[in-house]
Amino acid sequence: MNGRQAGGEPLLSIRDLRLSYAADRGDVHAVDGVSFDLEAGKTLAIVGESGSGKTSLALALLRLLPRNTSQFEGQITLNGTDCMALSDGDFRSRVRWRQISMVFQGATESLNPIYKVGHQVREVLTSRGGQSRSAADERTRELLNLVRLPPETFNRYPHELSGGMKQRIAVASALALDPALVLLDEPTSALDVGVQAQIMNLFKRLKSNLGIASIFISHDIALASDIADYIAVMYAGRLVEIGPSEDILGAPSHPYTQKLLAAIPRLRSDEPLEFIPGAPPDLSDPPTGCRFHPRCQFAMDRCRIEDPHGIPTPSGQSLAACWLLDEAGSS
Amino acid sequence: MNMNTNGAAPMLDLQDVAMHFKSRGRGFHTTTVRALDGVSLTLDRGETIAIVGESGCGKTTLGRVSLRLLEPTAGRVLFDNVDITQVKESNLKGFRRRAQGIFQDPFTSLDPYMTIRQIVEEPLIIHGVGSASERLERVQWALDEVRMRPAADFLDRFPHLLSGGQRQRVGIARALTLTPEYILADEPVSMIDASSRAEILALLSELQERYRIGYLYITHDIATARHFAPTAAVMYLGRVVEQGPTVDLINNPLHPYTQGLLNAVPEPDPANRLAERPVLPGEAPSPANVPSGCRFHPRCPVFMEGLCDVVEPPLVQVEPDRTVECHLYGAEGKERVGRDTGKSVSGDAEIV
Repeated sequence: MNGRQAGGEPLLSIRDLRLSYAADRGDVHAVDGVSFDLEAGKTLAIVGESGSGKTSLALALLRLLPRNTSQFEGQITLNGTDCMALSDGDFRSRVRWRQISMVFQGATESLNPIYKVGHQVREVLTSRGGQSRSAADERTRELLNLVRLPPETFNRYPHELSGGMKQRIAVASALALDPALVLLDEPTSALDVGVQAQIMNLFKRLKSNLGIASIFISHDIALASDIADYIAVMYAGRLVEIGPSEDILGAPSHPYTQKLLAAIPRLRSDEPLEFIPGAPPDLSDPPTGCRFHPRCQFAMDRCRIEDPHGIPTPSGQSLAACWLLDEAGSS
Repeated sequence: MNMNTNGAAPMLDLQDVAMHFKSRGRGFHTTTVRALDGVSLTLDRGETIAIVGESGCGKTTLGRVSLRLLEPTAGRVLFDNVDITQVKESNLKGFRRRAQGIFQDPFTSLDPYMTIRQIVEEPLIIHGVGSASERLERVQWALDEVRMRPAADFLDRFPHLLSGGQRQRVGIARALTLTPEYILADEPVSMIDASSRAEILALLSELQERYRIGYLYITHDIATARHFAPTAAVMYLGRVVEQGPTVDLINNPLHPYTQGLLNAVPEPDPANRLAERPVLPGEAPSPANVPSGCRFHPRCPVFMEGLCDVVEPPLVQVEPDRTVECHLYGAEGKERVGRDTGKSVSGDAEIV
């Protein structure tokens, strides 16, 4: 589905991206034909349940492919560069971390316990960025300041830092080489709600001050709304709806998006909570037609047979892969 | 002793419970970790109380003490008027039948080498309930109660073949087989996909209505508490800092910590992205290093020097069903319960 947004050349353009893993029970189609565009400086949130393919999508963008990858194809264009045409070596030296970087889920556990955190940030600059140690030291101090850590943090070891501070170190590493796009994969899921809010504030500040574009991956659509200009809802390896946050949150068109929103316990409303019966499908043997049809209360015969493509929603601002929109449009 | 509205003793009555762990620090020093530092609360049959707090606040320790999975270092835990901290483990079987737990992680709390039938049947075997055929019937009943239908289809499956929501329902069925009166539900939905959370919470509510189960619902998520628990207690560093009807706590939080916690909760509103949230500074200190006076004072936006960092805040009964432990409310001459500081707060304290 193509979530092209009006105006401006996109920073990132993805077309029909596919990533599958070989497994005993057959190929698992983790990302199965995903297309969207993202403008510079904007944030797109990708929300979905566990196993919907959100993290695989991020790994595909960084070309960090697991060993059992059986299929990796489609188009990824970043700043006019055809990423898929690059060799692994060129991709590593030109794109990964220089143009696209990532803050991983559970990043607080990804620091090496025996090195000072300042040295771990500096290493990104010296080994990947090819900078001299003194220049890298200077830049590391700048980065610590940018993520609002006191300068003395440079000489601290990971165990001396709180979870929130370690997360800031992971953000500093991701920003080290001035990327145009940062992938944030559940960057706050290991943190308490108070620290989560602090880190979200940091992302908002980086977005407005540095103009960095980001893809924010989360299972939590409420949290995603805290940063996202656009929201893409992913289900069983596909995008089912994509559009501006206002539209997705205010007037969701896909039944899955509607249910997902109705399942959020609201802090300031007693609206009874809804849930989606059943479980997401096995991606090695997905249902025919629309992948959501076995759990959808509106499923029609057509949904069981024909695979829906992105159809403009009534607002005209979003796309949803749902035949209900087609019926509404043609009648 | 606390009395409930009927004048009868409550089912579960925690009285000034403390849990101090000794831990070896650097060198020969030992430090004391004050995981729980004087918590009192009561729970009746058919009632739900949410314990809301961030990691390290002592909420899980409190739950474990309430099931006597841990023996508290001070205080009493009365279950039906019997102090279970004073009962020998060998005499606890009656209590263990009546009190059960559901835990956070349905991926690790179920034995991967046991079938669903074995998992749900185990408590019955431990407690010597029924013959093999009666137990099987009981297991099928419990699976049916948690909507794993038809139960026969699930009996011989292993946990790894189930979704997170299904696994958690097996955990509930296991807790349910002995028809307990009290269930500790420690973060039962925090690892479950958003689309299934409401289903699990609705199921727990349904079972409560049918069997008058009392739940202690431990959570970091005050929004789910609103939809599941009529009453909530907010914990910070081993103490309950505020307690009352959950909706009142949310609409009119009194303790500055509760206010900060609520400000941090994301709501699905696209306008949020345009502004930063007001947040509490820093993170909660370690329970091995509890600040003096009010333990929240180093992070408090309305900290009053010379008072909050010196004197422990009084427990103030603000309304018949609301209490708060904060100096801001000590001054107002409202009825004080519990420990009194013996000092009054000067009226000109500046509230920012």
